[in-house]
Amino acid sequence: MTRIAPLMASLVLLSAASMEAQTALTVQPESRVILHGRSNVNSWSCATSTFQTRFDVDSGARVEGLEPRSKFVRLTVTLPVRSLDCGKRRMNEDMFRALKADSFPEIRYVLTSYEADEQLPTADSVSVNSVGELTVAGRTRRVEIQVNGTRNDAGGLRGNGGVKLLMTDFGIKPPTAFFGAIRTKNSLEVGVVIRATTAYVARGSP
Amino acid sequence: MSANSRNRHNPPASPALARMPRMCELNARDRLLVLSRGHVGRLAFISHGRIELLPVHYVFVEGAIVGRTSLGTKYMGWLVRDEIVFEVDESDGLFDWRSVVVRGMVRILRPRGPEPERAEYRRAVAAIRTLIPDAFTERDPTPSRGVVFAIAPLAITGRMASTHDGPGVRGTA
Repeated sequence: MTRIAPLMASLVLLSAASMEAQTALTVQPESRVILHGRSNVNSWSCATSTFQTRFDVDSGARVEGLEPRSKFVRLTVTLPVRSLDCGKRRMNEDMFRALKADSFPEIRYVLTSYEADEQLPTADSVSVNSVGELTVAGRTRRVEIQVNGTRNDAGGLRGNGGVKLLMTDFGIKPPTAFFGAIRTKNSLEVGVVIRATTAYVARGSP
Repeated sequence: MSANSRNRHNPPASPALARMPRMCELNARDRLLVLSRGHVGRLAFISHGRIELLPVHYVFVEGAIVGRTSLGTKYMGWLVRDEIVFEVDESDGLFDWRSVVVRGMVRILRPRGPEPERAEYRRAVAAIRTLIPDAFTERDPTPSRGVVFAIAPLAITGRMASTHDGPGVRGTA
């Protein structure tokens, strides 16, 4: 397998969706992963811009072979649990404890396949339904994430995606605080904000 | 007008009021100090459409207000409406006092149920025993107070009045 440098590769799938399979994008710092949830008191969110992406291709395969659901493509996104910021130190600690950060310091998403939507409202639109494996607190579950975005004139990309999850699906007990007087709801939504620019064109390169 | 009559109508300022009292908000640290020092507060809530205001003893632990009270139908109202206001104050005189008001959610803790909930109950009882060592034993001085509750502070405010120099809060610099 050939590993392209972290933060340089990735998002090729979105390029592929617009028939430019060999354009690689650089993820910008404005990109974020956000957890949205609710408690019996209010709504909350935790976010991070600290994550690494890695794009693996099979060096024995032709780059032109990158097609939807290709078995030669693997995108991995890894984020440190302790980079999540919920806005309050105490809530951060509660979140880290719930996510078992000491034992499982990373959340990992591995793209396994994707499917581009051919029916797009504009020529600049990008829409991908991705299927991957999400590992949180040591448990892995298959998730589908719909990502919608637009491409700008410079080839950059602005996209948003999200998926609804249950904490208990990952063996996580919804956190409580203050002797249970505040109780987090089991369901939460993971949002992804992608801001990327064109880094280089990988056509013909491994 | 004689000097005596003038003094009757315009008495000299008493030493106690020689300095004008000042009133201001307590800072976050002093609010927590007042909560930590106190053991009796007033708990306001709505039950059956009425505003209730009751004194309760409590312990401030793990950022929560933990206390016990008697079993009563009005507390059952907490199960459907858990919003409360809690107040504790310290008074050393007419113009020397501190008051802290907590707005939050109350929850009744139970010794039964899933283990995490039982653990919360045990921690709360342990906290109450720092105040009343015989609580929930055969020597319990208030055995009728069998309901253990915890309050999650969502907003804490505080005010103080002082005729002294400095912050005016006991235990602070």
